[in-house]
Amino acid sequence: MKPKRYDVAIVGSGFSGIVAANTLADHNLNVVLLDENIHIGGQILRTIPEQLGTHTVSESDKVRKTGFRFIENIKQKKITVMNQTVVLAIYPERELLVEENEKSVFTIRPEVILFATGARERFLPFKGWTLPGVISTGAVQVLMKSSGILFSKKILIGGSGLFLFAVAHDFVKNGGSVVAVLEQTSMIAKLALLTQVSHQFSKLTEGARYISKLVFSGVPIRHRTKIIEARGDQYVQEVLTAKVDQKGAVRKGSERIYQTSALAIGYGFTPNIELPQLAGCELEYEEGKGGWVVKVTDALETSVQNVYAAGEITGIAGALKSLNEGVLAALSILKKLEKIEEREFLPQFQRITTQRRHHLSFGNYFNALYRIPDEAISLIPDETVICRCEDVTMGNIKNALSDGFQTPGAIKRATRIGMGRCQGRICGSVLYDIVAAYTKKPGSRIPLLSVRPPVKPVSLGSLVAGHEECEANTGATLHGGG
Amino acid sequence: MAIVLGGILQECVHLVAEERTIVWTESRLQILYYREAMMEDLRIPTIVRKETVTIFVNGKETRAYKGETVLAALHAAGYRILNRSRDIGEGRGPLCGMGVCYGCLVSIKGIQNQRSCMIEVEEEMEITTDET
Repeated sequence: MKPKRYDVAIVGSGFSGIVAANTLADHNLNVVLLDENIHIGGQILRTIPEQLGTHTVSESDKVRKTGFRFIENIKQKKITVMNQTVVLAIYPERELLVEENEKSVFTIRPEVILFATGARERFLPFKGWTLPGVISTGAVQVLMKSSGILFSKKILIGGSGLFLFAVAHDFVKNGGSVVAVLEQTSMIAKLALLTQVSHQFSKLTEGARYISKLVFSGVPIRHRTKIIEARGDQYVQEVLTAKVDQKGAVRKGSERIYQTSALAIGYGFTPNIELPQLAGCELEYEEGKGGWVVKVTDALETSVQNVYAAGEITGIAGALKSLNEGVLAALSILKKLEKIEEREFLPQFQRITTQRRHHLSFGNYFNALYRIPDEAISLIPDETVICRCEDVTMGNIKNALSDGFQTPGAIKRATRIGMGRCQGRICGSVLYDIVAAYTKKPGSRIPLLSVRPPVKPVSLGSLVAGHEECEANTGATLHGGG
Repeated sequence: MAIVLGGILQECVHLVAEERTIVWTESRLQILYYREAMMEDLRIPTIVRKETVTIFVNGKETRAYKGETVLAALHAAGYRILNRSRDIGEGRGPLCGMGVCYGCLVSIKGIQNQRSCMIEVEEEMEITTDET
């Protein structure tokens, strides 16, 4: 089958994706917006779908309202939106192999690709984190926002990062009760941060608003407190926690048990770099950006010609940076395709680039603050499952390390970690941290796991359906081997 | 001698088998009890819902709402174990809720290993979990 042609293919319909799509479509470019989810908008712009019903007391902040307006605009414009569509592979000449709706597989060949694949949550495994009832803070948010369901009437929230407070806040607002919010990072470190990022006043007040609302609704907030173990027979029933010192070691006698059937965990975010990696885009490691990110020029072009990246994958810094980079990427693409003049381009480019720098510096401090310390990694007990898909434990990884398997790729082949269905998307970042902690190398020297097509599992049925369509259209047959 | 040994062996096999049955029944009961306890209404009351749909979970008729994901509907109906881990067969449920972790895989309309968080419920949809 002939590939479908477009001027620009945008992968990911979060903030960056929808903002860029709007601008590009305004200049009469033929845009296709690909997204794996049921609805466009990514993670931040989730809302109760129209066919489900209406939220009677929902309120959105300014940023989200802006986002929803962009989504409305997309519906009015001539933009091809493909929901529930997964990019399976990227071949030379920007050819994308995609699967739509778990049914048909076909190829798309755009002039320009914009990756706006966002981020996913990262985790610090502890004993029992595989028990049903232990869920990510993101999932709690998704269930509330997209399906109108509380994960549980009562929930314990733990981990690190501001997102814990945002989720706790929304949970209480929707009628749930929060047992406590346990935050690994110390209060003092947070206060120290305030002075450094005071120019981002609006973001700070937002954080402060969440926390003060929680305090007023009587939710206990415990700093420098870590989840040690989730216990239960088949389901989580109780959670053991303890206070930790600055280095992450448990302070004896500070242990405490919470009785709960629901525990939400989150430890910050890690960029979804698999597709750009597969496309051959150069990556860079920067702690201030949240680890491995896609390396981009000031115009957001990657090391591969005509392939751009925007949003969390160029550095974790939140919705405003993604919005900003969506505009920037669109502008750069328009310039590249000669749709706007230099004199129109330059002033806008300079203005947005300055804003971008502010967002990046804000992200910098946050990523440094919420970095998982090496000590916390070395303290993971041997029986803790690291790879949930393949049941690979910390002990298995340590054994592999002492047997001489010193890179993530080698440990993967030795233990099967990262070979399961999620393809290392959950355990990968933990594995990098473990290898860095044990080999005493900086994160930048730890080689990433390789990415191969299909990037996400695909049923043979879809491939065959795509092939049959291909045969019908061209008369060609698929040859095996090679 | 051989007969005695054989007898003991048979007895052992029988005991092991019986033990298994008991364990199985217990865990099954526990799951049922748990689901009963989890049957509290988790749907946020301030959302005015439109249309109900009927889905079948492991053959059991279950109410859901149009626009909910399969994961949300299963969760609201008290299903916590959706599948089993590959190696040691532990019960597992969702982690990420957004299509990354593959922890919410169930069988939907006869197709195995579907991410329940990425698919919306449909009328008469048949879903199978791997609880026991």
